[in-house]
Amino acid sequence: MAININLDLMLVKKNMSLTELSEKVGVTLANLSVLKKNHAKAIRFSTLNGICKALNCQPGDILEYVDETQITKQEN
Amino acid sequence: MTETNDIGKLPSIKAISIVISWFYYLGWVAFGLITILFTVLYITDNNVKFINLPISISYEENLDKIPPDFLNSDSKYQVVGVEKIKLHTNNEGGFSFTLIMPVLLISGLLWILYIIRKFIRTVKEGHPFSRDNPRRIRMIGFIVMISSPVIAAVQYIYAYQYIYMLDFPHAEIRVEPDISLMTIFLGLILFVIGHVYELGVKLKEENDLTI
Repeated sequence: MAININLDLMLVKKNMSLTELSEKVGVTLANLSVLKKNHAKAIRFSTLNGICKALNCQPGDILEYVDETQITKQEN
Repeated sequence: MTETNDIGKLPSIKAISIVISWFYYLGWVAFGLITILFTVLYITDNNVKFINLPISISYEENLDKIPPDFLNSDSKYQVVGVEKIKLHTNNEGGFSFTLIMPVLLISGLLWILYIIRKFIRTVKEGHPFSRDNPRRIRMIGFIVMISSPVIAAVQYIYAYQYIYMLDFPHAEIRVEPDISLMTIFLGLILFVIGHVYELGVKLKEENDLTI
């Protein structure tokens, strides 16, 4: 996936646990875990809105674009 | 997830599950019984019956009189009927053919029932959109599609073994395999349903992984 989720980083920065975030956003812990592990296929605007509100951050702080082709070139 | 769990609790699903299970176990019983029955028949009677061969016998139109009796007393092969003849044989080939046909049919049926049971189990457990189910539907389609040509091929092979033994004056004897186009068509439809179901599974996965 070319989009990375930096949720764990933001949680450390804001000193918040995943359980606490799930309670504030209203998303299950399992779903947040899927999101954190970068296994999610899509994210709703409402969820993103809730996370940004709870963590007091911008979507760009959570989502990061990584060019996969450049990574594979560097690896080769 | 709760919606799919509810589907598993539906009385119709439970009823189908019970019926399929019964057919599945009856199929195994029939499988065993047929093998035993035919073996016993062969040993005790030395005469295996009910061989349907796709042989057609046709007479010329200008022939005055069709022989009234098709039975040839000198031959060990008694011919009954004209369009679809039955041979009462007492040789090895007849026995194996008589055994092969029901074994083939029941094996196919049991295979289909086994797949349907697995499919229904996933529905009852609340995850009908598992990745294995489209493959299962396609497999049923494949079995249904090949069943008719396979049976016709077996009939064809055996019919050619017996056709030279038949002697009817002024008659044309042909082997005409009976391939059911309906089952082939049904198999193709199941193939298409399997592919559509696979798309549904992909959509479900995408929906589940949307946070």
